[in-house]
Parts: sequence; C-alpha cells; structure tokens
Amino acid sequence: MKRIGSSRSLSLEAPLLLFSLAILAILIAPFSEMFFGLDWQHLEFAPNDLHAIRTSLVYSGTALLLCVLLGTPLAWWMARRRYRWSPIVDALILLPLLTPPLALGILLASFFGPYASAGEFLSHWGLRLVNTAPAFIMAQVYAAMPYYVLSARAAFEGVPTDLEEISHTLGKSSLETFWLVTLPMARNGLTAAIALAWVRAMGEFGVVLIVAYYPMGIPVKIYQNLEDIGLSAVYPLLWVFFLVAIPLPLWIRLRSRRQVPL
Amino acid sequence: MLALRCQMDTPVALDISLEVEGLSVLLGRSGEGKTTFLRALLGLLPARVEPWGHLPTEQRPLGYLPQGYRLFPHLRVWQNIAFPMRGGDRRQAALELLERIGMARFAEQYPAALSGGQQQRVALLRAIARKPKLLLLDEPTSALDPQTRDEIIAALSEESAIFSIPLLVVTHDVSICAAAQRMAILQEGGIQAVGEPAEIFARPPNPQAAQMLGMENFFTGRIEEKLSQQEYLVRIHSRRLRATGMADHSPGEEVILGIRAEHVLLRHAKDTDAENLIVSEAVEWHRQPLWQRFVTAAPFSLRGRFLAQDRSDPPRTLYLQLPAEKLLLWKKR
Repeated sequence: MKRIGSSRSLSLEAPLLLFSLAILAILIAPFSEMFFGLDWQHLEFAPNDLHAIRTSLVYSGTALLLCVLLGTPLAWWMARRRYRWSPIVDALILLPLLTPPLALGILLASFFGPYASAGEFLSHWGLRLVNTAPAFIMAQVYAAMPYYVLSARAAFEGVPTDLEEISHTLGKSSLETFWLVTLPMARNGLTAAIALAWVRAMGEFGVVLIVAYYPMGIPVKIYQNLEDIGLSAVYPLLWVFFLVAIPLPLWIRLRSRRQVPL
Repeated sequence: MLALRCQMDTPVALDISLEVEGLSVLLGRSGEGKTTFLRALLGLLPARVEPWGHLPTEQRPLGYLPQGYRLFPHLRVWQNIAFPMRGGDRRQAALELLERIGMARFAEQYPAALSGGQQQRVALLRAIARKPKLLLLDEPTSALDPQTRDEIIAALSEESAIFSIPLLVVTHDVSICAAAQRMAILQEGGIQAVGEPAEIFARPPNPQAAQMLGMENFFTGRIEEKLSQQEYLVRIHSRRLRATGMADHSPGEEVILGIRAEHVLLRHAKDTDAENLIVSEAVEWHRQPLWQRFVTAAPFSLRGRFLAQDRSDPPRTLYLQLPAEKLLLWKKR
C-alpha cells in the first residue's frame, strides 16, 4: 500500500513543484521592480520618512495589542457559544471586511468625527478621533481586528471541547482551562491570526487616509512621496516597510513551530 | 461503600441508584446511556445527582478516564500527570506516581509517542493525581486486543488497591466483570441487577441480561408443575425438562428458558437415564484451536461447546444433557 502511495505522489511531485513555483513567481514578479526600478546609486529617504516608520511601528504595535486583547475573548465566544442568532454575529464580523476601506474610513470619520454624537461625547473626555494618534490606532484596529477574530475563532474551533471538559474534571476552572489547554492548543492558529492582523494593520491605507492622514504612517507617506516627489521616493520607504513589517510575523511563526507539533 | 444516584430525562431517561466499592462494573449495551451516566455524575450534563450534585464539575472529587484517554497532546507525560496538582514540587510528585507504576522513563515524552496501553495508564495516573474519592472509567478495554485487555484489567484492579480509590467501570465488555468485586446491569434506563459477579452470572435477572452475559440458548416453554421452591417441570416442544427459576411462577405460565453453551453436556448414547437428556442432530460443527462448537437441528436448536481435546470426527447424533440447575427460566414479558 505504502509503495503505491509514494509512487503516486512521486509522479505528481515534479509537476506540482513546477506549478507552485510558477504561481509564486507570478505573485512575486511585480516586486522585482524594487530591485530593477530603483536607482541604487542615488538612494535617499524623503524628509520625514523616518518619522513615518516610527509612527507605523509604534501605533501598529499598539493596534495589534488591542486586536489581541479585545478580539481574543470575542473569537473564543464565537467559537464556543452557539446561539440561534450566531450566524448574524458571523455576518456582522464580515461587514467591516466587506466594506471598501475608503468607505469604512468615511463611516468612522462620520461616527467618531467632532460633529457626530459619539465623537462629541468622546471629545468631552479628551479623546479626539480624527487626525490624532488614537484615531490612527482606531483606524488600524478596525481594519485588522475582523481578520484577527475570524482566524482566532477558527483556531479555537480546532481545539477539541472534550479536552476542555477533561480539564474541568481535573479541577481546573474555566479561566484556568482557557489558559492551560485552549490557548496552548490553539497556538498555531492564533500566531497565524496575529501575523495576519499585524500585516493588515501595518499595510492599511484606505481607512487611515480618511481618519488619520496625520500622524503620517508609512502607507500614507508612500502616497505623499509619490505625489510630491515621484517614484524615486517610493521605493526606499517601501524597502524599509518590508524590512520592519516582515520580521514580527516570521518570528512568531518560527517560534510556534519550534514547540511541540500538535 | 459509596452510594450514587442519578436521575435525568434527556438526552436519555435514566434513573440509576448504585453502590460502588473496590472495582465495580456497570454493564450495559451501547446506547443504554453509560457514558451519559458518567458525564452526569461529573456535572458535564444537567441531571439530579447525588452526591456532589450541587458542585460545579471542577469541585466534584471524581477522577475520569474517558474513552480514548484524551491526554493533553501539548504536554509531556509528567506535565499531564501534574496537571491537576497544585503547589509544591509538581514535577517531583508526578515522577513519584510514574515510578510507582514503572513508567518513570517516559516522563519527558509526549503522549503521541506512547502506545495505547501506556496512554491509558498515564491518563489513569492523571485522574488519580487529583486525589478523587471515586474513579470513573468509560469502556477502558475497548480498542484493546484480548491480551492487553486482560493486562489492563489486572492493572486497574491492582492500581485501585495501591491508591485505595474505588473504581466504577462502565462497559459492554463482560470479561471485566471477572475481576470486579461488584457489578450491576444497566437496561432501559435503570439498574436491572446488582451484586457479586458470580451471583449475577449464575442467576441473571432476565433473558436480556443473560444474553448480555453471554448466554446463547433460549427457548419458550410452559410450566407443568412446581417441584420445589425454585424447581419446575417445564414442557418445551414435546419434551418435559426440569429447570430452575424464581419462586413466583405457577403451573400453566408461559416462560423463557435459557442455558449457556458451555453448560450443555455431551453424553454417551448409553447414558439414557441421565436427566434432561435430548437427542438431536448436529447441523454445524466448528473446530477452533481451543473449542469445538456445534449447533443442533430444530426444534431444539442448541449451541454447545467443549474443550477440543478429542481430535476424532464429531458425531452426527448428539446426546445432550441440560443440567436442571443450569437451565434457567424467567417470566415471559
């Protein structure tokens, strides 16, 4: 049996490898411009590029933290508690994903803007949600959290409920069970969710453009560089963007892989 | 002796009262609600349960060994065992438990690296580590080969004694009963019989229980005469046979009779004065390494077996004795 299986997979291996490499090449091809379209002799940053990098890193980090802190309980609740109206919750979480980012930005600005009741209420407490750091973070949370919640829910759904029951029979409370069983067993899926939320938050342009043009993060700065200076000012910043955005998800993935295979 | 009580209406209607000590077995067919009963005792399903019914699952002093053992795959063997422990040197305490069953060398392994039997023993230690007042085991011998099964049963009974914790095993596997101090039969949502295994095997409470305990031969008959307190003369087809039953039958009553295959005795043709003798034609012979089995023709379609010492050709005509004390009768429902 084994020989038949392996010979069949062998016969598929070469075509599958070629096919996968071809698709990957097509996906990656546009990025070759970053090598060939760049004037490596006269490489320089535009003014305030470094400031944009710092803004993106610090605020995206904060947004990611908020996504994890707020989204994890929601994802767990969606995975474990099923009501008759649960499909409505599932649809609601898709709404911010479905909305074009520009439109979502407009909705946020209208809702949290200084002339809207929610915005007015919050500004009484000193929280202004247009063109401020909190506004920037809020925009990223709105963009990234639905992705995080959906992925984290799938991760929690992958944890067998009977193992959680066993934990209860072994004297552990619901919170202890979540911490000792659910979370570690959902680890791989949750790290993927965190990675996804991070790249969404870092890369978000449309929502941020409307709600928090300032303080300027990398995506908006790239847009401004293109408008003010041209392509030559886009690529250096894009290079830095990749260099700072990629390590976190890569590190998280590697770390979770290095532990026990589940 | 610990008295348990459980009443529930859904998903299965159950009303069970049971006393457990040492290794106790609750025997029942699949779908009778054995697992449901355990889950109710544990507080994983809503039910009226005594004792500890008012406590949440995590506070009930019960250890649970589910089917498939369900070790935590992300924890090492010692971490699985230390899971329910609190404070102190949990690792050391887990290692000591492993030591006692001779599995200390597996402490750093993950459950996936263990065999089924080893996983079960680790799961048992994990349940014991929470220091329960009662251990509940769900079908501990399913998915085990016969030899491993016997080893596991012996180990269970031994470990129950070592850790002096009573064990309640729910199962459809009759062979576990041999090692048990007490057994009960679960049928139609309630306990049909309870007592020592030897008593229940000797006098099952009804034909269904008898069949569950491995009885193969059943016929219907009518009582002709009550011979003594528990002895009756019964007409089956055109034959009159002496049989044993409870004291509450009366002449004319229709009854079900049953006898275990190994209690059907093969006689010589000359033993014509033996009691309850039947002459019948063999329609099937099965030779197995240990047993020879036969099935006879109607109207007395009997299954019998005897140790296969005699290698000569089996006879066609069989002289069979059904010993009166082994031929049991029950009311026909």
